Amino acid sequence: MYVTFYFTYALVLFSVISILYTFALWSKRYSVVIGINRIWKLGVEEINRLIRGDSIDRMHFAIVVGLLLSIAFALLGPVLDYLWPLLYLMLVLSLPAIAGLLWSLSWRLQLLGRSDKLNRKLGGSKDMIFNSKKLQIILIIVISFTIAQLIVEWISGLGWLANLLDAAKNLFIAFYYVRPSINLIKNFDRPVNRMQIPFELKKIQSGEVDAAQVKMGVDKIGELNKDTIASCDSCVEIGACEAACPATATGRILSPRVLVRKVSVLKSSGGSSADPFNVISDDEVWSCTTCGACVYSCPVGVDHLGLIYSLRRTMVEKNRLDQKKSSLLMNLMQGGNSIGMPNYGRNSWIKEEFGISEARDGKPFEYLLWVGCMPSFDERSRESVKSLLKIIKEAGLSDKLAYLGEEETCCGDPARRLGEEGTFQNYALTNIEIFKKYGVKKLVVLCAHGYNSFTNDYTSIDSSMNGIKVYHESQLIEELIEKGSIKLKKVEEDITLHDPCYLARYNGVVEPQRLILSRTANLKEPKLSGERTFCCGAGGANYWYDVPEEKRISHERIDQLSATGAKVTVTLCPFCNAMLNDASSVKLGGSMKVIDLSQYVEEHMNKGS
Amino acid sequence: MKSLIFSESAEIIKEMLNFLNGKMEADVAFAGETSEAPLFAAKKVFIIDSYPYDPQTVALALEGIVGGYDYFFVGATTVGREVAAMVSQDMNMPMESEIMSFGLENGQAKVSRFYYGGKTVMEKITSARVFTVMAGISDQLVPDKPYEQEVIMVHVQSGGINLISREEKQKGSVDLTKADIIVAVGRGIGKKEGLEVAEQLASALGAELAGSRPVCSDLHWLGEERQVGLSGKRVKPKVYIALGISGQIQHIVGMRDSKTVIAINRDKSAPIFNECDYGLVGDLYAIVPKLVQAIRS
Repeated sequence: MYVTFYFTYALVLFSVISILYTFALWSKRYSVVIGINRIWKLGVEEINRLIRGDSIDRMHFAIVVGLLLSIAFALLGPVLDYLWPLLYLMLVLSLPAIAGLLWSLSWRLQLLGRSDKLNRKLGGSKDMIFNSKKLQIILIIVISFTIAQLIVEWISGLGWLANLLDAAKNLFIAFYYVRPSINLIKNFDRPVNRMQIPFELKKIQSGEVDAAQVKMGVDKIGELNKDTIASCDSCVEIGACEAACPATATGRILSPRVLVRKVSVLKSSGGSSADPFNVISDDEVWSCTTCGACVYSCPVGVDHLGLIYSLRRTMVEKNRLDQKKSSLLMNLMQGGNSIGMPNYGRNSWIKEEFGISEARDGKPFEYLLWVGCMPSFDERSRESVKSLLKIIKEAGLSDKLAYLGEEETCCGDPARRLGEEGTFQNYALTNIEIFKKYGVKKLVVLCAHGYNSFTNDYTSIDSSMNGIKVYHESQLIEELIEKGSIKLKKVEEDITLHDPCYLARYNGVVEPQRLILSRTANLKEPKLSGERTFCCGAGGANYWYDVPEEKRISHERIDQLSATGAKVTVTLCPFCNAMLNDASSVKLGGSMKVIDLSQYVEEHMNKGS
Repeated sequence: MKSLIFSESAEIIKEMLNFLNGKMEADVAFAGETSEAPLFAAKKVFIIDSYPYDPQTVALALEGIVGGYDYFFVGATTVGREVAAMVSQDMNMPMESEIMSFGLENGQAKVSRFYYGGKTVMEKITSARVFTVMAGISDQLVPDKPYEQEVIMVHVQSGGINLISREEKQKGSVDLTKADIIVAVGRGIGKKEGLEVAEQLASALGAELAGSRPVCSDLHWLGEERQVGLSGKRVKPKVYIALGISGQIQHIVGMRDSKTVIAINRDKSAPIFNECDYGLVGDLYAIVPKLVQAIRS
């Protein structure tokens, strides 16, 4: 008996050493330093996700805890009987872990068939389909072995069996799950909004970088950023991204899981010189709305968006654009806005109707209002600006506000998301110069995309942008309410809220809108809200083009919002507003009122108090 | 001063001959698909023995001829523009594109062309020697009697592109951008049957039917080729009739160049009423049938 036990214990030791060895190997290859501090932070993040996350986060947590417990059981096996309080503690802890593992197992079994269908639909190669199944079955085996081991631990005298199960499972971990773990340790706190920048226009213009050496896209997998490649190779077919993806949910020909797996499988069969477009279609890449749900939900820190942007830049570089996409770029390059209207006289109505001065008038100002393309030209969207200006007037801040008039152009977001990095950086550099010229310290925006551009995209281009405080309208309004500058009435009305991806998920701005709305009405949260919001369908320049789909993303979202029972949806971005407004009238006969936050606040404000 | 004219279209060559008539002597290079040389009012006619699928081949052929001329004029077609640019580059002859007039002043060329997206006309003294000429600005110059001319065949090696087969463009697809009258429907028509009402109006007026993004992309009541707007077609008909279109900027951008806009909508605060010349507030199901009746009678 003892002989069997210690023989199997030796196997456990071997398997654990294999894990540690591969950890050392891959962390060196990916140049990741694994310190105690980093692991501690990751642990805190995992617990955070357990508490605030969705079911997949909880399953992930159960698997991690189950694995750690099972390894601890096996390693401590020979001495556990002497450490009986620890033994009992571990046995008690194993119960919820077993429950969580069983839950994960059932989900994984369901997924096996579903993902196979999707792999075929999205044109996965034979190799890819086989590998997909293989990885999923390995995960199922690992989960099953862990469950079995944790159960066996309850039965005395079967230590050798527990050891065998543990050793087998550990070898799978060493082989398949060390790389994703390192990817996670490296990336778990990388914000969704972080982008790889293929070149710096400023350095090209100054001659510091030779323009001829600059490459925007990729012809070979090997030309992808190495973090992106590491991301693709770290995918173990968990399926969290796919479950969160609005494109997959509406039958577009994209699954973030399939996309990264296609690249990884192609790389291992065709090498680094294979062209990713051998296995990926153009519309697959255009189907993405860059909402970031995939990156946000991935339990192993895969950056799907990095891959998508690289592929988009390639298509732009090669001019593989249909008329809709190229006319967006044309408008951006020639017209100074994304809508294709003359920029001349842009927003002149603000001065006429509200007496607010333009920055170039020379009057000192505290806040600069960036109106944005959509509210500048769309009549309905303009109403939200009017409401915001009325709120600002009510708060007595009209004199402290200015706007840019014709000097305002595009923030550049649609260009960057479409993959036209040069046009984006051109806009960014121009706008940063304008902000410098007027000594702007505070910027007010109504659009989630402008907010993200100015806070994240621009700061990475010019650090002077860190000196500008950017307010989304929700943040400004909340500040005015806090200060008592405006007062709201409470009404007995059920309302719901649509968080824009670029505000909530990209930037974590989720509180001000909730504080404001819960003061005025009964806020009914949709199932997917806050940082876990579901896209309206306009992001990633999707407002300007169409791709094949079974259902409109905006229709899916309006259904989710309508399921709250509320008849009013408050939006925080003019593009979300336009998409959901259309969806409401097409899908719900207009029974859902879709209204911008500023309009809702203005309607519920005690005026002239 | 001697010039050479090139186009792959005999009509455009005749236009350009008129364009230069009385200004300078012009010879012709032609690379059209034809069995016999068309009749041009020129002393020398070069026939390039290659149909210009491959601008590179045509450019190479022309480069052997153009050296003997002071100026080189090319019809501004898709092929012409490419050929002109290649010749300009290879022969180191500066180029001016899309000119609409040409004159000589103190031995230098003076041309005019549209500027600022067609809002202004720029006149310019230029040292350019290659010009692409806007199509359709002159009548054709056709000699009334056989013209005494030298016809020179220019044989060229086939370039990289060969003609394998030809396929007719698919028929039945609409081209909204060329329509004179457009009847456009928005989601305000409420139900798919509403299309019939719009179709009746369109057929009474001989108009093309179009739709907004919700109608085409969301509801698929009309094909995508009929979508007008930011993510659809940009149209500029003489008359644009908007039925149940609220006027989101997405749509307005596609139709704001229309000459006359008529809007029918129930919602009197619909933004479309700021964009139209004539606006009717009311139920289109009541108004349009009467309109159709009135037009038919």
